[in-house]
Amino acid sequence: MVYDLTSLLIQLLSGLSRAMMLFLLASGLSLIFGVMNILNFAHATLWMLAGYLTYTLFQFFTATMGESGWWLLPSTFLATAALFALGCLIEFVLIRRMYDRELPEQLLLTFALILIIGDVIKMIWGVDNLRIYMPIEPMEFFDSFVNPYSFVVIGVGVAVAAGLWWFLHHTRYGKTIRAAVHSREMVSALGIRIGAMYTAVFGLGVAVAAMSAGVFLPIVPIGLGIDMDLIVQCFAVVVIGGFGSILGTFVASIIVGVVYSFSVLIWPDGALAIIFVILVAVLIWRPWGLFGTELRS
Amino acid sequence: MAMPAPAKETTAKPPGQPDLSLCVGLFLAPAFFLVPLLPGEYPVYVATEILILGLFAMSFNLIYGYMGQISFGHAAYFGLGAYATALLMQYLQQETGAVGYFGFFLSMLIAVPVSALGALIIGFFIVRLTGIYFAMLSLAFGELLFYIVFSWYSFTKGDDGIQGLLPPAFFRDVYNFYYFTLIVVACALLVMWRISRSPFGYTLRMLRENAQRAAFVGINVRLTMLVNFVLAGAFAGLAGSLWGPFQRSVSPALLGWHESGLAIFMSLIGGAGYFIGPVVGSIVYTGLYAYVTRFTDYWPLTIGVIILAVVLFAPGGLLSLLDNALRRLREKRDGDGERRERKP
Amino acid sequence: MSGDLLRIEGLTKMFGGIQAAHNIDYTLSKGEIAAIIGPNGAGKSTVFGLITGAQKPDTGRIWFEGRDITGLPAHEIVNAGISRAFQVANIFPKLTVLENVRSSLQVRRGHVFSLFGDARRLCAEEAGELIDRCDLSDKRLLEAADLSQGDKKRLELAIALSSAPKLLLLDEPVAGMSRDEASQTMDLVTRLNEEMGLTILFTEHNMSIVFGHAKRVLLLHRGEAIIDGSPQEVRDSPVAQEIYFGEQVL
Repeated sequence: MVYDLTSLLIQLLSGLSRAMMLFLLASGLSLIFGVMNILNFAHATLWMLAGYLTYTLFQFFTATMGESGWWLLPSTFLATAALFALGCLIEFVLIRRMYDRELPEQLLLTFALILIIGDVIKMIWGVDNLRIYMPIEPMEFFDSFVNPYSFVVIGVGVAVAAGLWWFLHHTRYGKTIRAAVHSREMVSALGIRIGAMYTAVFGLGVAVAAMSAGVFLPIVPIGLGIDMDLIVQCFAVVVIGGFGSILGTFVASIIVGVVYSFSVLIWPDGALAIIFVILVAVLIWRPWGLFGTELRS
Repeated sequence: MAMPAPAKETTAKPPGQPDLSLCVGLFLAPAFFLVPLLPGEYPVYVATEILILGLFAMSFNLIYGYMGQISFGHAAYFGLGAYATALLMQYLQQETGAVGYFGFFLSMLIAVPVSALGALIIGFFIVRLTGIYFAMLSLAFGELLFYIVFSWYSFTKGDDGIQGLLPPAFFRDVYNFYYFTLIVVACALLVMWRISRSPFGYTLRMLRENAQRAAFVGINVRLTMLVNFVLAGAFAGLAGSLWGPFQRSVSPALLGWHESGLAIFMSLIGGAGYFIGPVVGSIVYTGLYAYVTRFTDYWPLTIGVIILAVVLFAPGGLLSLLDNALRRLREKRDGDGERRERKP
Repeated sequence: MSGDLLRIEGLTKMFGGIQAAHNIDYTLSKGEIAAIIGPNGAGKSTVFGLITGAQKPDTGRIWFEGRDITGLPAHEIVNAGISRAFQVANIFPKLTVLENVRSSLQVRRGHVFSLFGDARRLCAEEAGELIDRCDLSDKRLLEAADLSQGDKKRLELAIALSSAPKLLLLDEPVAGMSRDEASQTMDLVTRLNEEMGLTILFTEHNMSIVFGHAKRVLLLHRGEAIIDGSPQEVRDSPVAQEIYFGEQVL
């Protein structure tokens, strides 16, 4: 294979869109862990559920009101709202009981959710892979053709990253959440209802993931089991970036996404192995992640 | 800049009340011995799997229940052992046509040092961390090994796995292999039982309870953790060595995080605070799997609900339910005025 | 001097721009019982941390029995003969009192990696004696987490003693104790010093305890050693009055 500039650029583009998907998933994971110290194993499964939901809504809209790619927007919006509600419900009913428990028990509970949600999806949607076909013309790009939708995806990713950053740094709620990452006691002392905040953060984290599921449906076919592969990669991203750091998660997503898509060129079977080599290296060198802060005991 | 939340320290309940483990063990031993009396080969097949996975979960619990750290990539050592045995058996099969008894035992024995060596090399890095970082680094190494096995086609046959392993004639019989497994697992558990009550066992408990104090009592914390990690890896390797001859094949999935998760499930369902807990967990999990999947396609839903129920309503695992019930009975019998002292 | 048990030279440690210890020189002879005092943040705990290997000094050296122990890991320093009890009782909460002490004794006897011995038998008798000496006899089968504050601190003392130390460092040994518990504990400490000849260095906020039990007192202030002398000398020193007692009165 000859690696000319064009093919490298295209690979970079695919790496970046993969990076955005990882970021949108991992940022919620990181935020939830940073604030509540809960590692939500079911995060990617909820993402997957959002994908199925978006698909069904999209089919419904196109069937009843005519074919149009734009139906993806309301479908994604509705699915995101539904998953926000579901996220809040899960926090309120289940996760809330786990804050004082040990890590393995938390993992076990969220893993039970993976199994349950996965089977519910199987009952409703069956085992076939689903995807949305968008009538988009390939675009010429440096003597080659790319799907212009990739730019949409990257744009959404950057916009969400910027939005999250703005929310966390420039709004009262956001600042409170960041304060909670630093010190829970302080936030409680300020008279903020910590329980309500936890519910909202969990819902928000799930909602960000849910939205990305809709956005990616035209280029990533969704199917059972995809959550299992994604969640471990999301862990890798969160750890590389540093727990609770949005900037770190963003940078780590780009590293993992881009490295992956170039590794696929060179060594297709071992691309994921390379991701874990990076993870191992970061954990040995800086266990608290690239953008995390060292904990002093 | 956001800061990572402090890693949650893992302090499992102490493996207390060994008499409960002993009672359960004394009940289980004859039960396992008599399983072949059940009609058909299927129960024996299931019981073999229960024993192998039970031993694997026990090896995980050496790190979790006793030392208080989570090895989230523990399947790596199970899988390494399974592959070591499988590759040697396959080699002998190709060279000599069939595996003889000596070759068979050698293939199985080789798994233990191979897994121990793997655990030594990987553990060297892992024991520098604790809490969630320990869990994440062990997960990362586990996945790394998984992908190496997965993609190194020329050596491991990648995704196809290694098929057609044929143990010598005696061990091809389901019943014989079952008793062989029973003996191996029972011996391993006896050794682990001794370790759990040895000074080293208490050194581990000290690390779990308070690693800082342990260092200031004169314990070399990292070295102790490493020794235990290698021990746990060796036992996992022994469990893995039984897998190939049992299933007649091995596949990369044996090293993946699902398999690691299995050990965590079993330990927590049975009760990580009890010596025999992981075996009880294996009986529940493997036993249910074997029979539930015959009636429904929705196995994940079933086990998911069970796990949810255990986590919410039986936090210390099923054995702690039993333990609490027995204690309440005892208190009722002894009257309420009795002084309650915990057992040493 | 070869009679010194512990010798510290030019010990300096910075924490994020703050001098926690600055150029401290200090020696302890065998059999002494001495105290380190100073206002909060004077560097008392830092000095303990540096001696016991919890932190490494930026500069300076520490000798114990003529051997340079600077920068050794904590467990090696314990094995060299320096034990420590912390300000907040540092014990093994879910083990019983007996297990706490017995396991610590087994470490000292080199059974850390003994895989097949019976932990219940080894050192059980000595553990009982140590527990008796620390007035915990009737609580030996209780979980350490269930003990009162004072009992927890006495348990930690027993754990520290089980390492058979030549030098015992006690960080506020009576913090959080009732008056009775405090005097009981300090009597025990004094007995350890007088009857067993154990060298003891402790920190304490309560001045009557310091002046009642220490034969020598070192005053630290902002990481620097101000005075090192008899309790009387320190009490009478104008500098000490100003920076320490003055501050406390205010």
